[in-house]
Amino acid sequence: MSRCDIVVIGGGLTGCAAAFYLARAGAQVVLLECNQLNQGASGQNAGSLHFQLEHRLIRNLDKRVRELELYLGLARHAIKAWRNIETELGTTVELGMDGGLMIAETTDQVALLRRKLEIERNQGLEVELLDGDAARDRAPYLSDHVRAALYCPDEGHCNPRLLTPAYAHAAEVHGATIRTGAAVTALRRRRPFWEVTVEEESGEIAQLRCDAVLDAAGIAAARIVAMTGVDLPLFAVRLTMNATEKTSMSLPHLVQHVGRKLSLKQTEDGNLLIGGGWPARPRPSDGAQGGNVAAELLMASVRGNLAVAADIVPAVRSLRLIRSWTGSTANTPDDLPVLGEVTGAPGLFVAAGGSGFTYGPSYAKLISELMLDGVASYPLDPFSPDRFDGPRTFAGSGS
Amino acid sequence: MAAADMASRLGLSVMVIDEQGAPGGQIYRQPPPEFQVPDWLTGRAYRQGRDLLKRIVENDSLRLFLRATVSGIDRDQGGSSGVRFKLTVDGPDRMEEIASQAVLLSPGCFDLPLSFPGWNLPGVMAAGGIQAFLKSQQLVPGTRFVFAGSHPLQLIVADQIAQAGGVVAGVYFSQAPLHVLGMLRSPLTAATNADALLQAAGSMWRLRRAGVPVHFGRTVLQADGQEALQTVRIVPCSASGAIRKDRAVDVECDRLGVCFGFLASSELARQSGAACRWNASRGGWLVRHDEWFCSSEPGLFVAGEITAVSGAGVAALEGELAALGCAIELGRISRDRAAHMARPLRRRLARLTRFADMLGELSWPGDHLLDQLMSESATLCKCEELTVGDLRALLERHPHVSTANAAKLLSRAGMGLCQGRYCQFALTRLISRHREIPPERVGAFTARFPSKPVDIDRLIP
Amino acid sequence: MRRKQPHVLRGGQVKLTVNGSAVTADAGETVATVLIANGIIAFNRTRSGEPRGPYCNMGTCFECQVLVTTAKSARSRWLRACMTRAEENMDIRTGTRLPGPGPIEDAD
Repeated sequence: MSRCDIVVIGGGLTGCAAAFYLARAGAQVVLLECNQLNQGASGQNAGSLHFQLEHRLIRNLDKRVRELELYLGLARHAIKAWRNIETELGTTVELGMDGGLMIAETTDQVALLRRKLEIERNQGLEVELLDGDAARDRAPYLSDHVRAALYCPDEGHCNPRLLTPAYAHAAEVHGATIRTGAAVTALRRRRPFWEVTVEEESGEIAQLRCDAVLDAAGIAAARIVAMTGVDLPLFAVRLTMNATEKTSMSLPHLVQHVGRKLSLKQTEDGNLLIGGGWPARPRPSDGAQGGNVAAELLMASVRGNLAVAADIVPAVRSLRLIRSWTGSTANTPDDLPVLGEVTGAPGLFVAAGGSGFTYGPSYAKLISELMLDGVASYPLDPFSPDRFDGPRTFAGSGS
Repeated sequence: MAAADMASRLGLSVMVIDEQGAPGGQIYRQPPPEFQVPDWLTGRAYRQGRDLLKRIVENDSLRLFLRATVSGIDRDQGGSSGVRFKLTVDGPDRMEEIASQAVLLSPGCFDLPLSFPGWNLPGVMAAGGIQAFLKSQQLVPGTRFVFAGSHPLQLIVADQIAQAGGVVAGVYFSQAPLHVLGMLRSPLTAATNADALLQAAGSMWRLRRAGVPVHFGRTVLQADGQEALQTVRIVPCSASGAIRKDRAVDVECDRLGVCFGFLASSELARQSGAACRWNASRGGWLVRHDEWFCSSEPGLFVAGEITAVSGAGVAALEGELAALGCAIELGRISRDRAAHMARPLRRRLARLTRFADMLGELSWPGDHLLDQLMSESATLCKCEELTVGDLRALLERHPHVSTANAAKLLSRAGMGLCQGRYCQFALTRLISRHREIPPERVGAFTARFPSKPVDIDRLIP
Repeated sequence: MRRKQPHVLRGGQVKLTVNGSAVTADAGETVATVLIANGIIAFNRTRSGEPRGPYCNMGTCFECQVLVTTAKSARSRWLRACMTRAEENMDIRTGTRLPGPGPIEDAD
């Protein structure tokens, strides 16, 4: 039986980044991924760095002030983390923090932006309200529909194709072992150790013994902790993304909408990536596929998403759509991530849910601190996996 | 065409959707209606297809939806009136949605793109592309042609070009002559496939008589030129595919027809979730099917090159069988009756398939040769301008990447306008060789909507 | 040079421009045919500046894209030359760099 300090389950952004931070701090780390690296939500999302409170989070703004404040605290942490990320990794990941615009088209939406600005400023997030003309001065590609925009200079985008592989590479440089095609089939507590059963692609079964386990399996995270009898209310959200052909126009910002489902940005290669939370349909027959839950494309989502994009950025209309794809991400009933140790299973840590791309590096950094030092540099208590125990009223609607 | 003809005869309501402006596919690709071509495809090998084409055009109950690309196939939930699929179709004027109870995919194939240095230079073309200029547009699309490859189609195209007045500087087969002749001489082949053999033999004879050199055991190594093709570097290669760079000869030409075989257009089938298998010499990712040519997805039928590249004769028979399969599925014919009707078709199919298998084996250039042609500077993904060397370097740096999808995500290969059609084959082989794993484990690119880029203003109000 | 098959009866003619010069084509010809018949084989340039021309001639490879302005629409579009019929008053630009960020092409 092989032996290491920490087993990380899941080769997405959080898992690879955690493997890096843990290995850099000197831990002996083995990362297990049942598919290839970066094949789930970490590689399928559109790469937004959004620190403003987004569309899905502000549906019940007044009822959720506490949760949103917690989110914004993480945002401050994440902004610092992102500013340092290319230095930390020693490579470029097409990071652009050229600012983000949250668009309003109606009077109500403008009012919502003002309310949001108040909460965000109170929490120390730098935001600025621009009227339509000021927004168009800064972003000439915006349409005349735009009445106002909340501008956050720290927002932007990073290429999801590159970030997770960069963390994986860096983790290996620091001595972490990465095994792909390695599915975890059992997780047992054998005091004082954890015993992880792994099934390789070849069908070979292996046992790994370690002091602590980090479950960073994204959409499959609940399935992993369930092996220890613990129930986590993580559910799959299936989403649609679209990519246009390359364009010579320049769109350096992240563009989102306060009242409609939209995120829009440009890759360094010139393609526009268009998403924003448009649903995809589950494929009931398939179930989970290599850590990602299969989802079928809904034409209505493609059309709807492109229509919003073209309303806000008219140049979209003159481009060709080259690819629409679906991805599944994990969410919790309160929209907050799960970060912490499972009380009933000491030594088993979870990092899943939440806005996993924007906050992934921070989740990974904080959970690695908690695992190694027993305390994280930003309080993780509100994100504890135990918070779902017992009666609780969820503010969020859940999907 | 054969499937539509049969399905229509069985009383099904049929719509044929095709990207070209007229039915016929690539083999019977028609000239535009403004042209009157007295000698269009007069050869014996084309006769059956021409008859079929005539029936299709004259059949009023068939709806032809031309200049239309199927962008995506959506499984319909709910299933009112038996509708199972909704096709999103990029038509000549707008996007349309077509509802249907069954879908039969016979999208054919395209010339196998081989990565070698200079293959993207203007003037280097697929041999099939050169033939289409001649067949459909009645244009000799260049002055001085070289053909290089391993598939006998290049003999026929070279002959057609020479007859139409183009200069053919040479035709180069990578195989040894004995290899080719030995197989063609098998009694089984000669007896059952006289038309195809006569056509190739006739081309060979005419080319030789016209003084066009036809070489065996020679391959293209690279294409060179300023701004456009000027010379093709030809080298000897042994029966095992080993090339001799020290004995290179540069041949002047302004067009190179590349002819190493074909790839099946299985992307729509893959987009719909149909299970596939890999066969490098018969079209790459091929769609699996049952005896009635139904794929792993209920109601989704396949026929022709996407089941294995086998030529027009096999495609037509498969189309007829698949049409019978559709009719069984939709309850228009009893299984017994269909089986009875299928019997003679299956017998002919078995014969033609043996020939196609032999031709597939004969036409395959071999892994060793392909490995040598794919040198570091050769373009791998032409859309994203990625070389073979670039991908190898990425594989070295990221030792855990061993699937086509993971490599695509890491490298951008396959993310361009051609949707990976022109790099998937090379990328799959490269990963498979580099990681020493079978292509099945490398897997296919996940095929996405739309099958070909669509104008966004067509998708929104 | 490049030969149009002489024995073929063709319909009417269409007048169009290629890179600003007047060109006459036979009705039914594709843009790719018109360009090759006029001695052009490099249809566009990649972002890195490499010339590219038609490869598959059946609409799958996207190597033959050219910028086309038609009488119908005000703006020019990138179209596959092999899948586009030549039309009266069409304007075709060849050698243009494909869209995307990068060095701005010199005016010529």
